[in-house]
Amino acid sequence: MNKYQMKQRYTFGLLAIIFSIFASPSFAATVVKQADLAFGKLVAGSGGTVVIDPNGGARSVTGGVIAVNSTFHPARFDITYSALELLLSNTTISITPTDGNASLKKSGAPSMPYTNYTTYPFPLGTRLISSILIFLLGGTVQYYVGGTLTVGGSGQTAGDYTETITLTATAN
Amino acid sequence: MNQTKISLLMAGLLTAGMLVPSASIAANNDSATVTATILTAIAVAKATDMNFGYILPNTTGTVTLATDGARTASGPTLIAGITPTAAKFNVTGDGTATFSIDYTGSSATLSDGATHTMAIDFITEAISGAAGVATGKTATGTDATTGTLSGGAAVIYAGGQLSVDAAQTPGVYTGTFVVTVAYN
Amino acid sequence: MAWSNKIAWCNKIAWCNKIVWCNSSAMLAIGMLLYLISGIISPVYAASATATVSATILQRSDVAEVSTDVSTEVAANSWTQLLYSSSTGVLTFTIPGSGLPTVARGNYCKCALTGTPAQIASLVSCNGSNSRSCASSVNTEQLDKVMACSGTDSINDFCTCEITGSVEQIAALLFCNGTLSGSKVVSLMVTDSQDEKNNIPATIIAAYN
Repeated sequence: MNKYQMKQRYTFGLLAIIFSIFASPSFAATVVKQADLAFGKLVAGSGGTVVIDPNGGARSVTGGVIAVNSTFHPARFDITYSALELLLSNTTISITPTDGNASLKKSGAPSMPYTNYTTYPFPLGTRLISSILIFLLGGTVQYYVGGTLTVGGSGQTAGDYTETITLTATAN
Repeated sequence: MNQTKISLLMAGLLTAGMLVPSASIAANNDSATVTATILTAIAVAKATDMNFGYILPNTTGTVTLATDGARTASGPTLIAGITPTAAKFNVTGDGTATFSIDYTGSSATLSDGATHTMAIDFITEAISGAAGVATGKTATGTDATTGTLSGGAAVIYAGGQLSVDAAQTPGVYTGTFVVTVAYN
Repeated sequence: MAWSNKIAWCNKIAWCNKIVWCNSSAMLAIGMLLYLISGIISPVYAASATATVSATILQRSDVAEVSTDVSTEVAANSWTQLLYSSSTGVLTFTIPGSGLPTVARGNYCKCALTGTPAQIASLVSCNGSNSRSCASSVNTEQLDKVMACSGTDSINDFCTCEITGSVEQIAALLFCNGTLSGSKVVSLMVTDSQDEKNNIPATIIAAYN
């Protein structure tokens, strides 16, 4: 084989390796939930909304809903990247159900919409590499999720309501 | 190296390249539950009114109605005929929640509807549970300002210390006792 | 918050450190302030209930047939039983006079026992023994007023009197220097301590309900 052919082979091999790294599905960042989202204890009253702020974890209410002294906190996901992944991928964060389609449910009771997702420290859907430069060194970011819960009035039956959200880091 | 060996080497590297990333298997997603608890609204209802019964003014003094309805006097004479009763309120709500108690709006004096009054200082206590029993408290100035539900219920009892003058004009004197509760 | 602490080098870089979210203390303070504000402005849902409070002040004429806890008739020489019982009650007794009853039952009337203050004092100062000079806790001045008849009633007129006090006090009043004759009649002698010739007799009938 001449030198040219050797170069071809090596290039092909190198490209194959790089391609396989790209193609590996585990190339995206890893996500591990560390805390659930809890709106806490509430008295429905005449109805209103409850907001959990992911930046600080404060809870506020509007309308006739009463916030009762209890435990509440935003959800927290630990997202881990390597520098290589960050530089070479286009990774975005998303939540399912999508905003506007989530609601907390209890059997036999009207559901309570959970909307207006808020996140901290960066919004959903942004390319991570374009968001904050600190990820250049890689590591783990604690990603908080809050939002708005809409509570009905006197028809909102007492009890525990739940919903499940899934946070995904997608490399594309 | 001959071509075969190069090909094998490339294949090996390719395989290794594919395997290496997948060796660190970790999910790119995870789920969290979102929860909220709606509490039963707190409510309070009066079960028994407060009645000091018959009092014969004799010497200026006080008549004390304990939270269990026991009546004692220092000065005036107590006369039988009406069963004295302490006020009783039933509180209902959620589980073992705590609540605040406020008495704003309660009378400071009982009045006969004309110009005659008697000062009153209420005696209150809150007992957990639907069947909470009064302890017979007679101390004023230590009103219950918080309570705790047990099995979603609690009871508030109220008596009072009435100031009666030796020359108190005869008649029926009335007033009101107000209880306001809220989750805290 | 905590995540910024993990990126420790952030704090060391001037431009990064100035960004507010790097300062976890500031975030905590803001979070607490928001929580406090939300507590102040959130509407309070409270429930209320009202009870009526009543008390009935009686006048003395309302008090008819006042009951006493002493249910046993006091037999002769049984003063100690009456005296040292722990009951309280009101004894209604009449002082008979020469005429017909002029005061209806139930009307408040104060009857007089004539005598000097010293005599009245000796009347009430009894501790239960058959002796004139005894100790008692009854306020003699008060008793004097209670025993003084109002209006035109005098000791010779039929008069219903009422004295409230402990059984001990009433027994002390009735006993002094008297003997219990039968079950309901007590003879009360008020004498001048210095001159026994000036006896002023008065009969007190004690009625027990």
